[in-house]
Amino acid sequence: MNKTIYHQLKELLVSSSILFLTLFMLSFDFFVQTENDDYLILNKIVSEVKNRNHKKPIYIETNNNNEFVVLIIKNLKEAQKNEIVLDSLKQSYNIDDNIVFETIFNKNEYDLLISQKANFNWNMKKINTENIYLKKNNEINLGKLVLTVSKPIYVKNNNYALVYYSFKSSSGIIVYEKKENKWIQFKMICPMLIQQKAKYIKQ
Amino acid sequence: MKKTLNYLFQTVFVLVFILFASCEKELYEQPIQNSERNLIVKEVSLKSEISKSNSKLMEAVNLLNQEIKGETNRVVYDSILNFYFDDERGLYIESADKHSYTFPIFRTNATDNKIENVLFDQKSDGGYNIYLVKYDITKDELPNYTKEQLELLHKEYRAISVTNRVRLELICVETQSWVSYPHAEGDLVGYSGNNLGHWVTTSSECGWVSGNTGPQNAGGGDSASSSAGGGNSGGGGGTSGSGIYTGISTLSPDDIIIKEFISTLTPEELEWYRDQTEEIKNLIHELVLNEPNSVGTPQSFIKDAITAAMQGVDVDFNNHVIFGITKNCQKEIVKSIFSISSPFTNLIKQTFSLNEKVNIKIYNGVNPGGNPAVTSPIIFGTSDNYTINIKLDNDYLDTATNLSIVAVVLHELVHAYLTYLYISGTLVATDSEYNTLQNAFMTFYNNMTPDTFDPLDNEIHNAMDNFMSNMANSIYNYSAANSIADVDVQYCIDLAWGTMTGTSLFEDSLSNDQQLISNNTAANEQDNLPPAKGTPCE
Repeated sequence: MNKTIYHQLKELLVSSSILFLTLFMLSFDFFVQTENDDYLILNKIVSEVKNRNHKKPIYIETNNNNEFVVLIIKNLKEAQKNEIVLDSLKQSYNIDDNIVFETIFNKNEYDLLISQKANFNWNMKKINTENIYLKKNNEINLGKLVLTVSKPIYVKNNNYALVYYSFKSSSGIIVYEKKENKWIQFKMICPMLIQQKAKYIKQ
Repeated sequence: MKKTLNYLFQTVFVLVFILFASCEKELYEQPIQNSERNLIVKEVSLKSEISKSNSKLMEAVNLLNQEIKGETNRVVYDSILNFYFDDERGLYIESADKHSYTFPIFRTNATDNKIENVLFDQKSDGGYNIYLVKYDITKDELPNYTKEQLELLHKEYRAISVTNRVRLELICVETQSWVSYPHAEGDLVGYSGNNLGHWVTTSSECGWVSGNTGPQNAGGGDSASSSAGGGNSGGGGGTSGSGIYTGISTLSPDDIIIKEFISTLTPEELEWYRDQTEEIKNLIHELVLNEPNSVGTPQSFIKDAITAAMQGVDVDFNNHVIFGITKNCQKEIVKSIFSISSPFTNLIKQTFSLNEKVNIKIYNGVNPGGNPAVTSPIIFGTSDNYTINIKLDNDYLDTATNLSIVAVVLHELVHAYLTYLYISGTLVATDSEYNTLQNAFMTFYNNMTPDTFDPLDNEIHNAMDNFMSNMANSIYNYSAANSIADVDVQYCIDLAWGTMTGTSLFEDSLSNDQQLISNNTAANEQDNLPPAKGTPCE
């Protein structure tokens, strides 16, 4: 009797360990995969900004805080309770009816998207565009062209990503679509004309 | 002979005179008879306390509402009962021994524009028969009928008994008559039309058809009402007090739009709406009529405004602005911008208060990077009626002085104004130099990506060059009106330019020293650092 229980427990332990290892491997794989994608997307944005402003040096905000993107997802998740509020919110965010947005902005994705909240520094060594500089945190940026890119967040199948982008006074969230292993801009949501915060400069 | 001829002529004259006199009497006999009916006519609302206290009436109204909503055992969709009725603008008509209530009907799926009314006609037991009355004239045709023409108008109309669940067709030959106003007692509601009197239909000859038994005391005469079938077996009809009395009650196209809007309100919204003053209601009606196509949609400004107002948010229905700022002191500062007298603020007020298409919503929340303010270029609503959203950052509002808030909001209002000019198609007409900005707007709205947004950002801020001195002037006038010491014109110019930090225009237009001064002036007022001249909220 005791032997039977022992064997059952042993089997349970083994199967649990396998399950745990599988989940760990999958999440590790997701992490490694998305980290590669993070820099693919970042480099794409950097090179495009550089192309549009080829004569001037570009400064990248070190921090890749994606709090704003997560906030938008949280708002959408919360608004699901009231269809009228949700419709209204989607219109104000520029989320219209299309298959891409239906895949991204639905209740099956929200928790994963929100869980990808991040706040760390970009690794400048992985940026492959020339004449790009790192803007240190809290550095005064009067007269500098500062680019802010958040860490992307991804849907489950990893085919779509959301990135906060800010350059000079324009900002918003860029929706990327992965096609043939390349990240393509799909559309911008939440576009905003930003009035920048002034920072006192000692004379 | 001459005498004989003279006598004959006099006789003919007298006969002709008698003939004409009798014709005249015949022509005017009816109105005299009608005025002798001694009817009391009042405008009435079912929302009034007097109406509500009439339990028999409320019972009939509830029965009708159940029928309209399909809550009874209606087996099939009923297109006849698919209507709304305006229960606040009815006619109460009282004769010697009975009374009736008539209300205008409107249908969203009307096949014609013929006037339709619902009639609650009092029975001898105090209850009410309910009829739908359809006239063979439209509201637009009604003014073309003179009083005399309506007097002489005899028409058949159909009434349907809702009360008995059996559709009985009551065929009536009715007479219109004019009843003088006013009898201004009781539950009179505001009368928007002619205040001299009202057309009243006195159904003098009626009979039930379709082989059904009609309700007691319906129809023109008591004898007719109980006769089963038999076509137009009219009753004795028309004696004072015994007929069906109803008036022609109509809704204008505007009334219909407003009623449709009201029908989209939730019970809570309806309760809020009814509590508003007539002035606010009229402003709401104006807004509804300005955006009839988006009535009831979540994107409509008025729906948004009502939702905001219900949550205690200040809504300026006159200037089309929602002040959705949850911090009271800061909200008052923003509101005061709209009362500054200056060329720019006057332009903004004119644009948004007189324009029927564009509205503004200013609210607070979390802005990315803690930046003081953002304006969304998204057209929230439709191009027929849209709201431009401006969001102020929570942390910024906590530290900023009143001067900073004024400068920052003025900056965003320029964005709102330029966006309005583009959407209204008047951008280039306002200034031919805006051609590049127009193209940037067009490209951006066709395909919203950073590739199209960055150029729009550049152009919209470049266009602000024309507004800098006016912004400074508005800041100066605000500080003068609020007795803020030591604020001169140059300080206001520096502050206005300080809001442009980080833009190409800022770098291209100002020397390095000027950039430093403007940036630091804005930073001091923004963070309330000495020597800031404004005052922050506590």
